Amino acid sequence: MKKTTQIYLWLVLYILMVFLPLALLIILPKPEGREFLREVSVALGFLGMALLGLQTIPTSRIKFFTRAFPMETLYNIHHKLSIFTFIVILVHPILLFINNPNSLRLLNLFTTPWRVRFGIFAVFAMFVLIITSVWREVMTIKYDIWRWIHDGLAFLAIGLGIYHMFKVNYYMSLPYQKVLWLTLTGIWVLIIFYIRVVRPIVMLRRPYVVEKVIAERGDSWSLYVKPLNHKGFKFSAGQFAWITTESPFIFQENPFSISTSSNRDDEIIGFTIKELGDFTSTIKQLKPGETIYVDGPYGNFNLDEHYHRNLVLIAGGIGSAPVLSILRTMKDRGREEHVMFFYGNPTLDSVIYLEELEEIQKEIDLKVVHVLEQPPEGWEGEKGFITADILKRHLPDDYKEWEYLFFLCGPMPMIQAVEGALKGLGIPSVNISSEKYEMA
Amino acid sequence: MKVNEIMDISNKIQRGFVILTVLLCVVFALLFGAIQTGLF
Repeated sequence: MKKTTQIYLWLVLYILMVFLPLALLIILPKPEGREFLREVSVALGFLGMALLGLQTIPTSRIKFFTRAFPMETLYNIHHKLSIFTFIVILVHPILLFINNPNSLRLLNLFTTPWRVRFGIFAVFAMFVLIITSVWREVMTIKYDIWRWIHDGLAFLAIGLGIYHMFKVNYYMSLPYQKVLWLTLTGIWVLIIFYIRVVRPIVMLRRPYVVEKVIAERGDSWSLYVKPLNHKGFKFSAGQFAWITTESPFIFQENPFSISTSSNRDDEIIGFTIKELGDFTSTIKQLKPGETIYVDGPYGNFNLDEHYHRNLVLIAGGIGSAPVLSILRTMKDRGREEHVMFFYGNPTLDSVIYLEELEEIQKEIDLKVVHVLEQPPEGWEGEKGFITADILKRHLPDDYKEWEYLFFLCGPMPMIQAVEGALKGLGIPSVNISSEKYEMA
Repeated sequence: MKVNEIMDISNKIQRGFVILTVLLCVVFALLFGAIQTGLF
């Protein structure tokens, strides 16, 4: 089956799972209707519950989804639909209160029936879930702790919501609705089971060992790992993987770009990781022979699968890790296309791979444009941030005709700024492939 | 599948899929309310 057909089939299935319970209620015989607002509220409750349960899918990293959809798209959809789901779920009780203001007394947790209590707790769990996700950085919640909070609240909201629906038992008194919701719940539980049990077991059975850890410029470390008693995985330059030094059941995993060449035949995979606190600060303490778990590869960039003759790579700081994987792979393969690398960094001292880039320039047709925020005295190169002016100054005059593929990697603000600059220069969005460093 | 095709689909999905879900939710909820109260 063609990949595009596969993608659209998944989307249709997703829509079907959200709307099927309500569509069947519309078509098939059902209990008597009540006031308009009350019925709209019930419909929103059904839709909100289906949407909530299905939010387990986009970020599950199940291979047949990540092969079909770019990871970034899945996370993007998850972020937007989660906020919409919360709005739908919140409007559900609000409409009931507008329809019958007397029902506000149901908010008294001491006197209200358990079915309502569970509904209130479900909405509150979702509220905390959204707040801690949208403002995680402002609230300075560590990523690892946030993931536990996020998953715990999501499972809690789903469980409480399902209990609420079954106990209200109006439209749920219909046997086919019971079967349908139990089936949907079964699917969500299976996905959660895969994330929490199956994948950790697979990772435990395919461990890696630390080969070496090398200090790089800019408070960064290159970590090289080797599969233990298995063949590891094949990856494309520009892809990334989740790694953890703890048991995969603890879920202290973080995504990092692979920085080694995909052409290596020694099965060693390397990551270059900047020390930014939390897990990243522990990389330098890793010793050769220590066990590490790797889940990957993910990411849709593929050096061999695009329509262009030439490449423009744009990265900021540690965003250069996948770029180096691309350049090292091109060097190993003796590729002849022209490559430009716009590389933004705070200072010259913090430029990771500075010397290696000079070496690679001697072997492939590569032009590196360093852009420094605080350049040293006498610096004649570009200063500040990577802007449309800087790009235009260095790209060939006929960059649109040359058909370059643009690969961007870095923190969200930089990606957004550079994507805006490229669109301003007339580069079609299909010629831009981005890896943002904020997927949580 | 080429990187460009993936980016094209990705752009379309990110723009269209969420809007489609929101619209369908609103339509379905209003339709259900209207049918149940005998407006249709």
